[in-house]
Amino acid sequence: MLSKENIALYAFRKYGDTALQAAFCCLGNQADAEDVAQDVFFALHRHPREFNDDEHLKAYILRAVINRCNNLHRKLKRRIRLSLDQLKESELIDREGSIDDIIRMIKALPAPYNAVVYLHDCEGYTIREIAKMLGKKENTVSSQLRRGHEKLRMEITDSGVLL
Amino acid sequence: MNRDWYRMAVRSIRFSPEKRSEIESRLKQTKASRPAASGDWRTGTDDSAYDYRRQTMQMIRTEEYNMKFRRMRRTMLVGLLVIGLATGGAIGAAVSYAKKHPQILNITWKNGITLNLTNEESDELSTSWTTYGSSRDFTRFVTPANSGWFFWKQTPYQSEVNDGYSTFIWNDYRNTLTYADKETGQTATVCARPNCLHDGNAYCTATTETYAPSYLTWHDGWLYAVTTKYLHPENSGIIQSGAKPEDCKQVLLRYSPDGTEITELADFGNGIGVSKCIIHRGYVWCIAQRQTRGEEIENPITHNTTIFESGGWQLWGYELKTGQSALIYEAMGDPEINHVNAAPDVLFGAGDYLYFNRMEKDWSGGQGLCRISLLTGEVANGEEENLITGRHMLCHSKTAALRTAEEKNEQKENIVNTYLLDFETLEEKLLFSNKREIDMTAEERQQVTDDPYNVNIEAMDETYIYSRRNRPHEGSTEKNMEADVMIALFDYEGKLIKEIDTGFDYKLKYDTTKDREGNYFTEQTSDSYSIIAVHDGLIYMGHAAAGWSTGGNIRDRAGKNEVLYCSVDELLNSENPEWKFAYTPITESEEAENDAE
Repeated sequence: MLSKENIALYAFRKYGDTALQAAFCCLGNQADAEDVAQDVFFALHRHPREFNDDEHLKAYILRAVINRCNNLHRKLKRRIRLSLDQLKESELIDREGSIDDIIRMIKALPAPYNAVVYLHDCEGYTIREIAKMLGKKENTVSSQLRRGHEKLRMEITDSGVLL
Repeated sequence: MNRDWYRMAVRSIRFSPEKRSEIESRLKQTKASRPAASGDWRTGTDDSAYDYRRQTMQMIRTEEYNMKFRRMRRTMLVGLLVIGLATGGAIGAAVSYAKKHPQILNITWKNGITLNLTNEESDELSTSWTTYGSSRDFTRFVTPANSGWFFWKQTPYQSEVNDGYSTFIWNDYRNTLTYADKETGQTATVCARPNCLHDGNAYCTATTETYAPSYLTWHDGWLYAVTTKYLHPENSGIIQSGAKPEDCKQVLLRYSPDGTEITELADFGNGIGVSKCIIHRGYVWCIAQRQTRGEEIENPITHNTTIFESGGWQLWGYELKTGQSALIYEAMGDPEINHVNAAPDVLFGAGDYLYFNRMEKDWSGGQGLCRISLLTGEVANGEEENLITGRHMLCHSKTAALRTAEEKNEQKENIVNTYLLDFETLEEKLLFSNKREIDMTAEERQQVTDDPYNVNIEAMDETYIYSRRNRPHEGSTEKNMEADVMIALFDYEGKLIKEIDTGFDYKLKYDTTKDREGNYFTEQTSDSYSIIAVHDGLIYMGHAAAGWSTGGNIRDRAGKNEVLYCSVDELLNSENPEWKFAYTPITESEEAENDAE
């Protein structure tokens, strides 16, 4: 059992980047992604709670990030994305030669596919775990995952990037 | 797409060191107290009078605030409750109204056909399945309903027939509409008539001989079927081989599940055959088969027999709300090529289209998947060309899986390709490409190649594609085969998710026996399994048991068909998945044994 003692700091050090990546995949926007990610940890700091283990903590953080992203989507009624130039200036991604591909891939995925693809492909969660985490049916998650992959592939194929 | 690449790219997104240290420093602080509101009492004064006044005012303000807060909270709660009830009631009423009065879209085609389409999408799972056939087919057209299954039980019987000259013993099968309860496993004959013998009499709703048994479709508490109506059922038994086209009609029937009535909803004219029907957008879509020509040959009982030839087929729409029928597509027979317009065995509704399979005009490439727009009446790709050619089609949701006709690869070997067709984009995707197993010897088949699953897709659902194969035991030969029945689950990318040994054994046996005249002949019998459907998280296997014996004449042994089911979750996660019987029809010999007991 993870104690409440400074759980937010512990969580940030362990899953800070994970939260940022999840938020970025959902929003496609660095500034908003950082805001959402840090808000999750600040909220946990204000209202600390106990977790069974690291996996429990990680699942909580990801669920909180995705919920906040969904709230932001609803609030703004549209997806917020930076232009290509803005994102290049952001110095968020330091990997040379891959920035355009990343932008294309992430931009290619609208909600709700982005969260499902991220959780499955990046975090390695199974369909059942994602369904439980997002409160959806397994079939829905599976369908969204398949369609997300198809959209991703179509986007990459259309743009001529060979992966 | 390379998922590792995607993962690596996303992983490169990180907080900058400055941002990270800023957040960490905030998190290291002790729990922040709520910041003082503007206009709050100042602190740090040592003026006792001021302190007293401040405390008093604070108390008053707190009390006042609490009172106000309580009142406000109470008002808000009551308001929210009223709003909630009103909204919930309105939504409930709207949903209820929408269910009872689905949105009607009035469509008029260029040729004047009018349709009143609702927004109710087809439930492809409501259509019935054909169980795996055997030489003695005891169950046909299994249909899932809300709490069980309906199916036709077929039992052999003998009747005496007098044709005016002499009396014959006529061997026939009686079809009985039967229901099996999912919870209890009990079966019941679907006839509510008191003291009915279920012997094919005109009033029995389960064994009527006026109508041929057919595929059943469960919708909104009724069973629908398109089938043949015999105009002279008094010749039951011999009528089916002696009937002329003008003796039969194609009709749409509605069976009540409690066995109280059979209603003839629509008459599609002369013709013979049983066909599928589906419910989609407020219509029952029916395939009516036509037989316009017949060749007469001698028959010892009826003194004539009509050999039916395909006269084409028609697609009809029956509007559930009004009972009006409309002929929407016609593929009439070609006297030169009899099979050209053989009726489709695939009929599927998705969105604004009906999908069906259609023979190639020149009979060269087998069948093709075709679709007709319900909004315009136009056939996709015109009258000549299909969307995609192939055989062994399966449709689910918005995708079809098709196996193409055989082709030659560079090594001149026969290969079979399996494609997926997306209904929305009409894009084809090659899923598997395999050597054709059927051309191989038994030895070759045992060494097979890449993956024999890939040519044996038998079911699809939202998540997986289901394939089945028989894995021969060591020492099996082509004429005495025993094999494990294996199921493989693939995703829609063609990736193998899991291979499962079902625990069932496939058997094939050749037996030499002697007929009444003392002549020896060889007969084949088998005990086989196949996936017949995946429905509501359950996978169903059809089992055709042909009656095994340790010796003697295997032809006379009674066999039976069974349907077993298992949860897909259990299949994926358990080492020993449990299969249950959907039902096990009782064979005549077993019934006789029961009677004797």
